[in-house]
Amino acid sequence: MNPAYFPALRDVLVHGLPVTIEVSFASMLIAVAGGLVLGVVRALRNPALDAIVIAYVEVLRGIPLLVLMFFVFFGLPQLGLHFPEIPSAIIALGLWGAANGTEIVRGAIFSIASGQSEAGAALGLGWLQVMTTIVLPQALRRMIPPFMSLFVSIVESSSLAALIGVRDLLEIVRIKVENDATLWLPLLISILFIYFLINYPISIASQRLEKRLT
Amino acid sequence: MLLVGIVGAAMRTSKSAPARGFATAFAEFFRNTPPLVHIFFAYFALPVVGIKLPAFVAGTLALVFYQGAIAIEILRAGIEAVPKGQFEAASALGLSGFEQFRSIVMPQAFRISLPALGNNLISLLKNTSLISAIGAIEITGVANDIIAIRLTSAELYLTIGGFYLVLVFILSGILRSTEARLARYGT
Repeated sequence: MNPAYFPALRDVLVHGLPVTIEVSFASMLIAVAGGLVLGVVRALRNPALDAIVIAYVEVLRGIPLLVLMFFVFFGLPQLGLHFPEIPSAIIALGLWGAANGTEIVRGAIFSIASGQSEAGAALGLGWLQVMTTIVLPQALRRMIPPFMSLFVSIVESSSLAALIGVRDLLEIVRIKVENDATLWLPLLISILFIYFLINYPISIASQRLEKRLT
Repeated sequence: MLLVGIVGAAMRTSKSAPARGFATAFAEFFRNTPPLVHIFFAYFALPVVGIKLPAFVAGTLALVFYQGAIAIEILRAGIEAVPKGQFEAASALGLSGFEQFRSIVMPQAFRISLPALGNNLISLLKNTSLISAIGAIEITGVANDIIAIRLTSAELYLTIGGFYLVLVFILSGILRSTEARLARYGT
């Protein structure tokens, strides 16, 4: 075993892991919040708002995340908007997550039988009340498994941040191997396992919940 | 990717415990780890043990493993959705295990899985951009080279985004019409 491996792994864990978690977690929050807002907007069935939200979702889901991240980090400064590395990564990942989140929320809301909201309306409740007290509480349960799958994708995609210089797990590995290329093998295997240890429990929980809901 | 998915799903649903265990471990590991790290592994780590692959081959191989792992899970769900009676009827006709899988189970499972497989194909198309990180010549990689020379990145990334968007729309159009054509045969 290469003696440089353990000190290098320590640095990867101490410096890289918190950054990966920070970028992933902040992006998850934006994805959930943005998804809820835009998903509920879709439920308004307002043609003009629908068109805007659909365009946002289709464009962000249609371009590779890496291109979006490069655009935020390298492209926006040309338009006068400068963001440091970590915020750029979170903005790109968060906007991408929110587009996917919108589809999850919309799907869950429309999967609730229309009799539910008709019954609410018959009780004299307004649209907002029907949404917040009848539809959303039921829809929220159905959103949990797909949101957890999205979280797995977000943790995986947070590794793209390394390509704009964010010092996450992958970037610290890249720095460590500069002097010793033989470290690539053990360090990459190590971070693969770290990503797996974060994601596998989320995947399993998501599959279990989905089985229980159906 | 499709080949990995079909072989993996067959193993994943087979009666043999080692085959099932291997396919499950493969699918769960690759599905839950970042494709960018797989690409780095194939290109930078494999040479350490004497396997040197060109950037394009390494990148493609890594993506086939990642998207293939997802395809395994999609096709497994499809196979499990094929009604039990179909398997029983096939054995009653005296078909061997392989014949059952090839001519009875797989065609039905494939149709059930088609929408999800289509999304996986679109995701593969977008993930090809990750190969640029190790320098294979591909749309994003070419853009990075151009930027390095001319330094006008905003327009370029918008253009590249537009290229991908058009490719994705064309691909999803083809997938939708394929689904519609298959739906005509009913279930």
